[in-house]
Amino acid sequence: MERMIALARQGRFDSEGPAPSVRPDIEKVYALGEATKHDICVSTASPRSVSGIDRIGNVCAGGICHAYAHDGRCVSMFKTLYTNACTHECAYCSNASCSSGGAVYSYTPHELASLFMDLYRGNYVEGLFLSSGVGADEYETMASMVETAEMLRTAYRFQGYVHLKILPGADRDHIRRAMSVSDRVSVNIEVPSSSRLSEICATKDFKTDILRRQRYIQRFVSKEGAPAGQTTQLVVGGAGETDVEIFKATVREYHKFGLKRVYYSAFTPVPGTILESQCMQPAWREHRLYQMDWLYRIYHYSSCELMSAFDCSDHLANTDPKRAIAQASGLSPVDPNIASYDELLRVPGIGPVSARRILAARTRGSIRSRKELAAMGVVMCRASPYLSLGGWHDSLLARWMA
Amino acid sequence: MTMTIPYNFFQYLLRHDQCTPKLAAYARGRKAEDIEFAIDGRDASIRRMVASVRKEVHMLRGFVRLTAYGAYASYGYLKPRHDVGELVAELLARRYPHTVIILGNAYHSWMCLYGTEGVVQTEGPALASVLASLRDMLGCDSSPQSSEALWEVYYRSQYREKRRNLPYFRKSMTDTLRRSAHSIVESNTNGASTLDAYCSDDD
Repeated sequence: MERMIALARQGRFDSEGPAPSVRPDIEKVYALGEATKHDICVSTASPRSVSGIDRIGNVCAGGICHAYAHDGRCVSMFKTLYTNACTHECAYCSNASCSSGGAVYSYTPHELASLFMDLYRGNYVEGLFLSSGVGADEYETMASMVETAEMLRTAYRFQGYVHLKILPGADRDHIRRAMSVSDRVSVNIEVPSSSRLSEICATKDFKTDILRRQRYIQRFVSKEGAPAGQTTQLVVGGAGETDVEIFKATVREYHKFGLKRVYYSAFTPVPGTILESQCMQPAWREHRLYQMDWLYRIYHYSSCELMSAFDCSDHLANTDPKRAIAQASGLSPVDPNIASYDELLRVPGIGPVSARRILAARTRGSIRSRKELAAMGVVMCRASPYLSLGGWHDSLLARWMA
Repeated sequence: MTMTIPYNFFQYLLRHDQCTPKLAAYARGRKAEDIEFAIDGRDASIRRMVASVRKEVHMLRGFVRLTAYGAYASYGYLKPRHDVGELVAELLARRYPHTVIILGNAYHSWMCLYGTEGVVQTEGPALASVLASLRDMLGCDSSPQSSEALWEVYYRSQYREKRRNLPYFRKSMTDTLRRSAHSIVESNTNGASTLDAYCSDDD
C-alpha cells in the first residue's frame, strides 16, 4: 500500500483541473437534468481508441451502464441541458417560450465541467451528454457548449465519452469544433417531415435548421470528427404521425445522412405545454419501432419486406414485427442443415448469434433435434413452426387451414 | 466470425464460485470454439458460467461507486459473487491513472494502481482496516469526499413516474448486484424522500 501511494505521488499529473468555483446548485442540477429525461440516447459505445497514463477516463467499445432508473431505463451518462431558456415554440416542450415553465437556469462552462468531473471520478457516469435550449440565441449557447467540452478535454484532460447536441440552426464552425472534441453529435429531427414540424413548432425550419445541419455533420464525419458518428431522435405520436411515416423517415435518415442510430421517444404530455391535454402514447409503440429499426439495421431486412408489418391504418400492432412479417409473407419452414445465414435470420426466434452457431455446428455434423437448436440459443417456441428437421415441422393454424 | 466467448475463457471460468477442480481440468483441454458452439451439456454449462462471470465484471464496474480519499486514492464497496474483485479494480484503475483504487468489504479488499510502472495489484484484509492504515499514511488533512448527494439529485431527475417499471429495473439491476456494490440510492425503489410519501406509496 505504501509503495502504491508513493508510485501514485511520483507519476501524478494535474488531472484535477481548475478548482471548483462554487458548490453546485442542487435545484439547478435537478431542473436541467430533468429537462433531458425524454432524451433517449444512452449508448456510450465509441470505436475511438484511447491510451496513455497522462489523461483521465477512457471509452469502452461496448458501453457501460452505471445504474438503472426505476422506469427501467439505463443511466449511463450525465445528461443535462446547458440552459433551459429557449426562444423556440415547440408545443410539446416544457422549456418552450410559449410554455408556462418554471425558473430559468443556466450553467457556466467551468461550473458544468467541474460538476461532471466530480461524478465521473466517483464512477457514477460514463460520459457527458450535453443538450440545451437555444438560450438568447443559438450562436452563443452553442459556443458555450463547445467551450465546456473543450475545457473537459484540455483543462481536465478527460478522454472519456462526450455526446453533444447540435442546436437547430447552429453555426457551421461551431459544429466542426463540437465534432473535434466529442465522440458523437446529434440533431433531433423530432418529427418525420416538414409539414409535421409546422404543426408543432412555428419557429423551426425543417430543411434549413435541421436537415442542413445533419448534412454538415455528415460531411465532417467523413473528414475528421466524431468517431461514434451522428444520431437523431423522433417523438412518437406528438404530431399525430403514423408509424409508417416514422419508419420512412428513419430509413431516409440512415440512407441520406449515414446515421448510426435513430432513437424514439413515445410522446408524454408535459404540464404547462400546449399539448398537455393530448393523450400519452403507449410505451409499446416506441418498443415496436425499435424492433423494426433493429430488423432493418442488424437483420438487414429490406424496407419493402418490413412494410408488411404495418396494418391498413399505417400503424404497427403490439406484436413481434418479425413474427408478423413471417406470417404475412407465408414463410415456409426452412431446414437448419441447409439454410443460408440470411434465411435463418428470417426465422422468428433465431438471431445473429444463434444463426452463426447453427452454421458452425453444421460443419461438425448435421443438426438432428430441437434440443440441439435450443442449446444453440434458438427460442424454439417461436421458431418451431418455421423450422423443418428431418422432413418434420410444426404447423400454424393459418397454414393448416389454408 | 464474432465470438461471444473470449479465447481466455478459462481465466473467467476459474473465477466462478461453482467451478470445481474437475470441471477446470476438463475445461483446460477445450478450445473457445468448442465452448462457443457447444451443444453438449457440459460445454454449454461452461459457456453459461463464463458468461455469468463476465456479466458480473461488466455490471459491477459500472455500479461500484468511488469515494476520493485525498489526491492519490479512491475506495469503494465491493462484495462480488464470483472472484472478480481483482478484475474490477484493474478496470477502474486504468480509468483513473495514478490513483490507487481500493475495493473491498468486511472480509477482503483489492488494491490496484495504474501508472508509469504499468498495473500494480495487491490484495488485503477488510476494507475498514485498509482505510485505517491509509488514514495513518496520508495524515489527518485528507478526508473522504463522496459525490453521493449530487448523484442522488441527478438520479432522481432522470426518473419518469409515468413509465414506472420496477420489474424491468430489478431485472437489469438485480438485488444481488445492488448488494454487491452497496447501491443505496438505486435501492430506494419507492422514490420517497419523506415519511408521508413513503407511507402513501403502495409498492
